[in-house]
Amino acid sequence: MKGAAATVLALLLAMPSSDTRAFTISSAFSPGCHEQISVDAFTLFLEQTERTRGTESLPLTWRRVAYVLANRIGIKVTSDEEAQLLLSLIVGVRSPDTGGHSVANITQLRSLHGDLDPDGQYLHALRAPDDDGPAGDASAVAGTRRSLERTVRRAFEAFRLPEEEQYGSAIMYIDFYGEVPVPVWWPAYYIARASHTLQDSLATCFETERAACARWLACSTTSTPSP
Amino acid sequence: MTNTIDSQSLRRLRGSVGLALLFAVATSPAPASAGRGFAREDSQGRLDGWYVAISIHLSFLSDVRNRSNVLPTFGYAVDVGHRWNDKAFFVHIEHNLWVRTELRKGIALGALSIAPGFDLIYGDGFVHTSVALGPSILLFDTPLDDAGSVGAFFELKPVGLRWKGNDHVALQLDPLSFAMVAPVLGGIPLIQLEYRTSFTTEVIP
Repeated sequence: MKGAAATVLALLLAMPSSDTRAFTISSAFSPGCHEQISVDAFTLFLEQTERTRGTESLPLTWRRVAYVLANRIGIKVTSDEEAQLLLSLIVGVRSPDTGGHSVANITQLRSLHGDLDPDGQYLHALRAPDDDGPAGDASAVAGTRRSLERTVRRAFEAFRLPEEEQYGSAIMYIDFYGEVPVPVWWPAYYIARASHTLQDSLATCFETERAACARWLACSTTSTPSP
Repeated sequence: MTNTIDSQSLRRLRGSVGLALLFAVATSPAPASAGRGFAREDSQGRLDGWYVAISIHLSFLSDVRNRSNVLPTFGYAVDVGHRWNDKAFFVHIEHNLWVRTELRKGIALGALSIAPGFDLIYGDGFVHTSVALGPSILLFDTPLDDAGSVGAFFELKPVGLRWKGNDHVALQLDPLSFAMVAPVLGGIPLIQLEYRTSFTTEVIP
């Protein structure tokens, strides 16, 4: 009996496993896929968009942080506006995975990712606990769509606010300093948060789209420059 | 500002200090002797004179709110001191390195701390308690601060064990000590609270 159990166990261990693909955020343990994708979009945005809105001048500390991040990613920021956009995007795109906490804050990570609330799962284009079978497929897709729409709507609502109300602060964990409030421009923050869901949906749902996302998918399994 | 030492941590720190003092008072014999048969001792087992101690330390977990549960740090230190039997004054010079967990991997140079301190030996020379307080200097540029920023350092070793290595060497194990390495106190403060384990080799010439 023991021999049979050992054989079964050995066979199970020997069975080839399939890749599980998901985009990661930048940390000591993972490459910065979400950040890289968002910054790629950010760079395109800067190249193709005539920006007429002003920006609150960034305190020197945060300008410095933005320049350090930009330098690590390998892009240039040339103004306070770009610096604030970059900060907003990085903080926003990381927020669904970290909630502003450390990636090594195991207690918080567990509560964030083990969230039984369906919306907590749809934020990552994942099935909710009760989304089983074909009906669960439809439910997960609809939930993910609702999550995306809600976050994009919040971005537009923030964009329609008087300019001084479009700025605030969101929590981000900085190595050795802990959780600190980072100044963000809410429209960009929410767009980045929505893009996290969109990126996760590409990684987990749309198999046929993967070829078009080869670079980003490669980012999900290999090391890339991280901020 | 979310990056502050929360009241729960302060209560625990106060509790640790109180417990250490209570233990020190309860176990301190009078008159105490720091001797364990070292070459330097006089006929009464009194250990007077200079010493040099080299130590390594490691800390891994943190319970500070709004911090990671995993905050690995390590480092080394040199203490130069003078002992008057069971009491000693020393200068503690340490380099504390920090392991990154966010945004990217690597080891940051951390901080250099230089702290005068006091050490007490009791329990027939088997046990010691020490405390050190002084400045701490940031050794690397962070996204928020430049290297060279000066803050504060505090370390409490509540209960450590001592053994005789040979006639000129004492070995010391501090299973759990508390250190606050805070090279940046202004603006957004950089304060590392560490629960360390240290191993020390003390040379008594």
